[in-house]
Amino acid sequence: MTEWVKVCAVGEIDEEDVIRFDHQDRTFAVYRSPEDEYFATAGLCTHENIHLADGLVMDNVIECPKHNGRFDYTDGSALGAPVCVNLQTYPVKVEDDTVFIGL
Amino acid sequence: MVQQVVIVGAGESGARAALHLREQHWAGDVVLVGEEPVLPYERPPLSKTFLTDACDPPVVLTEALLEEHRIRFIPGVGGGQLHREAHHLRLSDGEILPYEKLLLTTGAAARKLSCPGGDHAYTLRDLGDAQVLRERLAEAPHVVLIGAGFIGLELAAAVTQGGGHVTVLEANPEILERVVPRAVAQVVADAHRNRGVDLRCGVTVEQISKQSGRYTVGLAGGEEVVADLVVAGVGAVPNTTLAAEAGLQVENGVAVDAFLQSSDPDIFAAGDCCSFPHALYQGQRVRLEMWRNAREQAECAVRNLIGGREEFRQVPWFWSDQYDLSLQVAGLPAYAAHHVSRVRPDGVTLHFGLNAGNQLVFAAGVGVGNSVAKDIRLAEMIIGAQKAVDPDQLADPSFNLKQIIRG
Repeated sequence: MTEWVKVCAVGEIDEEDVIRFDHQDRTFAVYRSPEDEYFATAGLCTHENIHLADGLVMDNVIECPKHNGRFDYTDGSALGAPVCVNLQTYPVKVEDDTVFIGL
Repeated sequence: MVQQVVIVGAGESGARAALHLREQHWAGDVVLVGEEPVLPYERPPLSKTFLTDACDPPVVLTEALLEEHRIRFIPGVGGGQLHREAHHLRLSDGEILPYEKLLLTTGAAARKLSCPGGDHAYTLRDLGDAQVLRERLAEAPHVVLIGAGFIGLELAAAVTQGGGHVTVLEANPEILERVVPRAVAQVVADAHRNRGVDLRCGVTVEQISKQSGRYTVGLAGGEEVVADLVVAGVGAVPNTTLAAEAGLQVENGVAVDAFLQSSDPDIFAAGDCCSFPHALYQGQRVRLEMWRNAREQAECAVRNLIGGREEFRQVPWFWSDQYDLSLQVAGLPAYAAHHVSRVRPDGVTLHFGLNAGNQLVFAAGVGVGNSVAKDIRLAEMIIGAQKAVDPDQLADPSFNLKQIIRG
């Protein structure tokens, strides 16, 4: 069963940006798209364990801050070398101006 | 003519080129020749986590990938001769490889110290060097590093983190001169000094001698520094012997044009071994020693050697990790006419260089973890777009740099 965990208030993520969210011993990246929708993926790049939340979001793409591996954060798909393994994605919901991630 | 592309040099650039040929649906044969006896691997960790965490560098072309993409990899073969008239490469073991097109990705070698006893200094360039260094460092409580460039400083951080004592000797009055703004260099220098590194600038090494397992480094002025190990990081020289012997034009590296094509139209070059006229910098000839450039040039060269006609115009970019800090640089500092700083709410300062027409040509920053990455990436996109920018907007931390790209 999905456990909904509170991430932050909606205003704490800028539009077209990402934040890091740590929960227990896991790390996630939570995104707000230019269309004002929220998404969540695993927090680390599948290439070399770099925190994606330090990377740049442009449209639906997050780019790893170290080696420029790119993923579509809305579905986790890897968009080409040097990354070839997709990102795990997680459901997100917004209730009462609060963002929740489903684990 | 034989449908075969031969790639000489199996570092980041050569390995990327081999894969990119398949990504571009090249149907002919691909042969990748490497001097080292191992599968192609990532070099950046060699001066960082390879030493601090004892983790081996990731392999970039595994046996499975070589097989899947039908790439013939010939390891452990160096030298050889290039016969351009006959369109073949003769390897040092005697095998003859015919080619339709040839790509030189021979990289660069560590520059040796020229002073008397300079041979006593170890250098770091490849996995073999790093393995030797890792063993020697384990039994060397005091290390002298000659040259405060990125390799030297990353080594200083790795040795310090491993509990060793480090003296860094730099000939210039400041570290990283002409590479990053002084304020960035100062943050880096402070990080080393605060952790006990004896960082000394403006000192000239005159000679190195070895007695009963210890080294004595003699400085101009007569002072001597005694150490258990001496490592030199004084730059790299492009590997151009093969090209030069074959009569290709060489000019601080294999000289290629904006399409990465050498003076022989069937031979291209990419990465640390070549110099090229940079389209974003008035066509000035530059040679770059950067991980990402090695990959991007490999891709561009591949597309051109199978029939494309694409100018290489990627923005130079590199990073360096030292302790908990990461420094990132985009563009080239020499082309800046004036500078602007942007002080972020978290205290990190970003440095921008603009030309006389207010086009951004350079950006640099240093911060904990990858905290400068987003801003430097945006700066890189602005540099690539070659748009005139408002310096006040660059300096204003509340102004979102994305607006310049989208504007």
